[in-house]
Amino acid sequence: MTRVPRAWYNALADVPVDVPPDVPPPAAPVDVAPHVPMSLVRQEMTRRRWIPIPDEVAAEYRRWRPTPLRRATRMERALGTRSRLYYKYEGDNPSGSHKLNTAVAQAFYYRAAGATRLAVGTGAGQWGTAVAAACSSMGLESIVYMVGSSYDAKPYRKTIMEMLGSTVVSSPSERTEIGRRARREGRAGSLSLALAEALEEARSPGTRFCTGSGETYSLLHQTVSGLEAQEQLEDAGDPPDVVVASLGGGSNFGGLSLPFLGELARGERSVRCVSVEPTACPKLTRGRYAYDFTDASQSTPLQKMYTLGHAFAPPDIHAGGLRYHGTAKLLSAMYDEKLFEAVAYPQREVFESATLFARTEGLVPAPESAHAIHGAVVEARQADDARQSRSVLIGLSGHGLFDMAAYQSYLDGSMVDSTASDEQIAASLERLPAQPSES
Amino acid sequence: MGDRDDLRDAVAQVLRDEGRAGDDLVVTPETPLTGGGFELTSLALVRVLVGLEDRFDIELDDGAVMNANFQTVDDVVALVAASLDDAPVGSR
Repeated sequence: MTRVPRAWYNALADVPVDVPPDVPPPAAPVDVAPHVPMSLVRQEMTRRRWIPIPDEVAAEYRRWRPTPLRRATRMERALGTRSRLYYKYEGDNPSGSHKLNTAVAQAFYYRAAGATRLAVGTGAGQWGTAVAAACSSMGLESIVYMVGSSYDAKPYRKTIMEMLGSTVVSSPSERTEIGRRARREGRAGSLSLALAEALEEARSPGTRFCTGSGETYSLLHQTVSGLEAQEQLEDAGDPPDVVVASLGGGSNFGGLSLPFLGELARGERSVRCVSVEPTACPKLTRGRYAYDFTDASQSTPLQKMYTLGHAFAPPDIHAGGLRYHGTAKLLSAMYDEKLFEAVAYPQREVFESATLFARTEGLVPAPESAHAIHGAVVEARQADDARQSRSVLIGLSGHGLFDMAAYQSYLDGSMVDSTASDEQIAASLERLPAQPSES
Repeated sequence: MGDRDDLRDAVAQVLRDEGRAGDDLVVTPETPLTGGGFELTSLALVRVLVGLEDRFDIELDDGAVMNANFQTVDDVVALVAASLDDAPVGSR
């Protein structure tokens, strides 16, 4: 029987890459105060393979973990494939997605560092909901700056965050100086603006800003998913030939795939890991490996990553969590060494696979997770064409019950495919910051 | 030379390694960490703290670091000294 892991898995112990260090932004702030607890900094830098999970965090995990791993037998039959499709479902918790795995851990460490309240920015709402749930569990207050268009389009996201005790603010707001300025200038809301408002909020006593997806410690916390899946598939006697997960900032893909890529690096298993991104935001398949800002504020340290440029404005697709311009630096370094694969698909065929999954398996996937399902469908078809049978593990990172507008647009035929143009990507990459000299 | 001076020298060496101070910088307890002193960025300060943990085999307290007011060399020295005082005998 699968148990909740007692330690997070640190891939840096095994994978043959060096992650280039962050560098200060060109206009480095005068303030030198650390904004991240040393416990998280240590997790970012260590090469120890196993990082013990604090007892209190482990107790929180046990409220919804281990998460289920199921075989999608009806989907297999509908596809007529000879491959076996398994999905690891991370949506069965109050936040509805994998994001809670790191939100709980970060809330624990920020509370230990003296925080009484966390401030975050959120786009589609998954990170905000996860932080709201984590703070509720850890006895912290929380305030979420939610991109105004999402705030209006997804009112029930706001409701669930408020149910969990969070204050939810539509961004840009009158609450912060940068929000008031944006409103005066008539600027539309964006994730970078919401993040900037949350950063300003974090100047309040006892309040800290925490970030969701791309940091190495965030990927580390997410490895509970991959570690459980390893054990569950061993129990099933069918370890995967392929692991498929969607990639936004990287914590979902990293959390599921890193334990498997570690086994691959140690020579213990042969496995392919495939990240799936939308053609509207193809950072791995068409981006550049370069130093870039992590958001549009241009005030945070530069990280070396596969990026479309911090100025890249992807078309307005429904998988809001996959619209981020960059990729986690650890995964970027690994992709540069060709340690995993990346593919990109347009959203209509993604939603076709997701709708088939919902009809056959009785579970509505988040639009982000739908990309992984479609990636698995493609893998199964390729295997059938080659007269092979593959064991395919799918990262089902969350449910799509707040995304009915997306499914409605697919069903009524109004959904359109979007692909970033060469000119759009080139124009954005021209605005990359000056690259630090290699030393 | 007292223990505090030795500690300050060790801290100053790590600050020199990570900062952009000139070789001619004269270090006093009040030498600033930023402008006119070690010219640290926030990223460099984090590397300094990690370096000090390695150098002294300590784990700096999350709360102490996050709530410290880092202005001068001795603000860092005080943080390390407090951590050394808290460490159990024989642990370092």
